[in-house]
Amino acid sequence: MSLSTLLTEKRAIVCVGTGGVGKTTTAAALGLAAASLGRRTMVLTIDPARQLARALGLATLGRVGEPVDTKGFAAPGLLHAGMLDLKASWDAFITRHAPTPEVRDSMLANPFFQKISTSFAGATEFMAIEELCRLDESRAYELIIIDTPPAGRAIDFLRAPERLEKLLAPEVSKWILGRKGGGALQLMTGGARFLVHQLERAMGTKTMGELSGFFIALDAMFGDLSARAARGRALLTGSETAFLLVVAPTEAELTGARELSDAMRQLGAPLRGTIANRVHPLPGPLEVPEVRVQEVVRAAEADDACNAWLEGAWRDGRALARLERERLEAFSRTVPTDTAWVEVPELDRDAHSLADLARLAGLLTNPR
Amino acid sequence: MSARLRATQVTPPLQVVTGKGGVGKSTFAAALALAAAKAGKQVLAIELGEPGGLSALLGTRPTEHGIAVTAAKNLQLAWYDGEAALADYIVRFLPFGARLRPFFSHPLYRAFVSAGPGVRELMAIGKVRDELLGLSSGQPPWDLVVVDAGASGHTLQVLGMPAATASTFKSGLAHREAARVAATLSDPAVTEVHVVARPEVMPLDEAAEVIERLRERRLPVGRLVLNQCRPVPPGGAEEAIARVGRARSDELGRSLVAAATRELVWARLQEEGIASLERRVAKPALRLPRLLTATFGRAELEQLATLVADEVKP
Repeated sequence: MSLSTLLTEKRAIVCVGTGGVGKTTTAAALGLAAASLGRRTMVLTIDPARQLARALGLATLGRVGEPVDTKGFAAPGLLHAGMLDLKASWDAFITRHAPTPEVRDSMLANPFFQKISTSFAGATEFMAIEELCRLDESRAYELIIIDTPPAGRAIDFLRAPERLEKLLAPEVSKWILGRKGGGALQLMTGGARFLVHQLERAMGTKTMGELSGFFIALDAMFGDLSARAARGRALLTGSETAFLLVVAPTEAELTGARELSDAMRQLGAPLRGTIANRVHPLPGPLEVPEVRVQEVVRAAEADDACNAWLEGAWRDGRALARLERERLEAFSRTVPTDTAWVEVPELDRDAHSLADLARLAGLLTNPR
Repeated sequence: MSARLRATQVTPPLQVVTGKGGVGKSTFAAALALAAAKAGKQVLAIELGEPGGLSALLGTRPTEHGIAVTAAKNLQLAWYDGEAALADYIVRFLPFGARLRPFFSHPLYRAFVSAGPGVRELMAIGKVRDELLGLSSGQPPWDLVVVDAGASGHTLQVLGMPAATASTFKSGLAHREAARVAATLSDPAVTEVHVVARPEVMPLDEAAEVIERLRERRLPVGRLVLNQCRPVPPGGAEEAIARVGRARSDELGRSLVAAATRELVWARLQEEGIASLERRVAKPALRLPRLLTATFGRAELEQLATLVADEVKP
């Protein structure tokens, strides 16, 4: 399976990986590659927008998607880029799903909603998935490439719908709203009052009022929210979505990547490809005796500091390339077979322009 | 409290380490903790959240929330889970707290903890303060508490949570506790937040942003640490490469010229990036070398600990 095949056949590509491995840049380059393959493509980033904006040569990125001028790169398709605006997305989401204007207004004004919507663990992930669903439903694009939040929280991306459902579990809102159900619930009410009383002492009555207001509004929206969470999960684990792992060949990142890859398999969304960025090629032939290197270095007729630096540059370059090779081979044995595997050599600079992205796109789709 | 610490400490006793993913935050935190322990300080290293990087580096893994294990002489390692910390807190401080235990499995409580705005973060950092002040044991046993606070976005959330909570809850226990923790975190005599990065364009840029955001929140910024720095090329390196190129046109000569040229390009980019970052944040960087060994084990950690020994001198 090649990346070109995935870019041609899938409807959604999710780039995952630990932070600082060029994930956002890779997502942008994949977008350009897909556009070159003739697809109407949208790249949605979550990381601070400046990175992708810079790489795409855009000053600002809108939530909906700014068209990228790909003329000059012979892209017969289309490329749009956008970034997630968390607060705006949540507010729009509530506006879309609130059953009445009263519920909408009470939700938008609720301090708990305002805090939770932008800060609960998984808030970003949930909204990114929601935007992915919306883009998918709009049918404006044939392929949506989505970047995920960085660092060890990549797995939250798959767990976000489940987390939201937990928060929305009907028993929770029923309980806080004081509705009386069967015997068990009846029995709990006394204890529940006690808990609420304690929470009031801890947080103040006003806060408790706001908290129950939040749950009352949530309760009114429960059906819709739950359906959206289910829709997101279905899209992520469906056959039209492919998860690509972006990784750098360092010990720490490959360890993190292995855990991520295992967790994803368990969640029913196995990796469909790996992109190893920043791989250092081995300088020189496989075996070189030390004494011959010193002989070459002497040809520089330089001082001791320069000689030591030259030898160091050679030795470090070789050591690094060998280490990376060993690590990548060990890691490649842990990913599912029949998945894409592309190694991108360390480039002499970060992607600053569309031309840089086009070069990267070429390396991704036509690996050596 | 602050006065006492000022009188006896120069290195602030609460050392928080953060940075973007994959830049070696835990490595620096472990080296710092080990260096302090070697200097004779009683050190507690803490991971916020599940045991991970620090445990792997120090070669020991605490199994239970809040229970420290010995990682080296004078060095204990613990991990704090926000949810467990909240339960501890409720049982200890709320009236009839112990009677609330059955509710810890209640769906409302679970929803509040897992989705509530920063509850876990607040509790975890509150627990760190308790340790620092000896509130858990009655006696401050630690000269230094090193916190591996995870990725910078998360750390900013954790460190910003007490102040945010104190302003959200205008009164009550939550307000009082959060305000206390916020005061500890913003006191430069007590707390120091180190930002770790790698000397590459984007990570350097992000480190500058993290430092600026910490300053906006009035959190004391400690060191700017740069991991995996290439050696600075000596003067005349470029000419030396050129002379090798002229003298040796064989495969080995060409490969060495290519390898050295690449190294020179990257080293120059690194130096430009570091200089520009140092100007932007008005702070000199602490550089740590790149260690090219197959695995990063205790020997490598000891090597880095030696290099950061000056950071923890009393």
